[in-house]
Amino acid sequence: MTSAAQPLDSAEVQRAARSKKLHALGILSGFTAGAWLGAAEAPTKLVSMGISPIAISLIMVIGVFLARWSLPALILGTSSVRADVCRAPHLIIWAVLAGCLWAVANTLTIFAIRDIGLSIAFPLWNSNSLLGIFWGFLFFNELRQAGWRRWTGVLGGAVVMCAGATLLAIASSTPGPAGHSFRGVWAALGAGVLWGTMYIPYRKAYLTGMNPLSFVTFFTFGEVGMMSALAIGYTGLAPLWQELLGARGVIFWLMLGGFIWVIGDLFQQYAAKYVGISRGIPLSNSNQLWGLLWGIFVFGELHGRSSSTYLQVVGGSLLMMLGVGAIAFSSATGEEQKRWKEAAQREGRRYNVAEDFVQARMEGRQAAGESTPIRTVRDWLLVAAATAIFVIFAAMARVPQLSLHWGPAAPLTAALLVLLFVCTLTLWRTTRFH
Amino acid sequence: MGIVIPSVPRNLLSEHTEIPKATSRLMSVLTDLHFWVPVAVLLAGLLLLSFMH
Repeated sequence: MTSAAQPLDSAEVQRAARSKKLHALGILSGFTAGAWLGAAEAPTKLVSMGISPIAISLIMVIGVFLARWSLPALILGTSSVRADVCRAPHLIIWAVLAGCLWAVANTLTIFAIRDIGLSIAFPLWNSNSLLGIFWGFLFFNELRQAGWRRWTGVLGGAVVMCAGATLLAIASSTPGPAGHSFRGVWAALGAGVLWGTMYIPYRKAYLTGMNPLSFVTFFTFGEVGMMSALAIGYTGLAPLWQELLGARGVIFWLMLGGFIWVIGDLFQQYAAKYVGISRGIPLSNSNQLWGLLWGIFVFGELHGRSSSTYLQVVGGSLLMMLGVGAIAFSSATGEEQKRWKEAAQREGRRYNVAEDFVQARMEGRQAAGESTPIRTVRDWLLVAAATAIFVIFAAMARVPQLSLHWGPAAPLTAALLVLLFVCTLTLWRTTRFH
Repeated sequence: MGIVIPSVPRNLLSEHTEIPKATSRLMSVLTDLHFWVPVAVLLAGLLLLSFMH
């Protein structure tokens, strides 16, 4: 009796330890995502010439497209993407749908900022994390049987983060035009709903065992396709082309912003995979805090503003950190994780994906019989082509006439690189990127 | 003899109907409630954008 029970207990202990490790990895990924998504704003701040916001979005999305193909090719190789798609081809539809949602939401934010200013618009669309929690609970068994302490930690943390985001947005904004306030509020709320709903395909993919590196390669087709359609629809093909030609001196900076954004987004995907959307999304929404750090210290954005503005920044930052801490410490209990597994099994049955594969991928390991991903010549060609495109635009780029504070830029860049290194190494050691 | 209580689905929204293996994956997507939520939100977003413009 004892000898039969012991191996079972030991397996249970190992599983619990693995769950804890993956949870910590998801939290670290969420932090890193926030830092890199916030830093993605830095290169775009170098662009001060008169380009339409839609053209700016389109150029950034082109940079994003290049990164979303070259980074997975570099990390695991496209053979891994192909193998993932063969196992769960239906996820292509989900990924493209999520990309379309992102592009429409991003365009709505442009209208929102124009009509009501960033201070009102940002907190409105930042509500996406609350919607993410709702969808996670409703569709994917997240926070089920989690207990009131976890509920308070996650929901309370997200609400506190929204309050902090509001303070930061008020502090960092300039007064917006009041002409179309009602329209702007709708645009900001619409963007929040679209982004919040975009996390349904994310979670769907990861519960079915898809690798984040595979998901983003198809996500980007929706993103670039929808953004191109919107840009052509609103601007017209010939005027858009003229605008892009006129902007060739700054294309590199915008594409670089897109590239950095993809690094952050990849970590956001891993956070959504390992801690769910209810915890992963609020954590990566801390990007606003990082964006503001770059704005204040490197670009001198609040220089000469009143002490009350700085007070708002300090208060908002503390609230954001408090919210992040509350979510980070609300780890999923064993009971809640059982409910996640039930949701994963349900998805596996519906889409006919092997249960052992789904189980292995949920635990961040390779399934039995799964071939080790290898990089081929095609992968290196992809990486070389993406690099060459960046180099060509870098050669055309104009160095902006801005007074940057390089002193604070150095520690911020160092913090980014340390987070990148630590999180990548932990991901590699724990999951081998599976 | 004990009384047999029929099991009640814990969550009607998440425990949606199973699809037989033979059914195509496309049909599985199209009959998935989770799919239509983002689709409806996307269409509403596009409609909102057209009003904005």
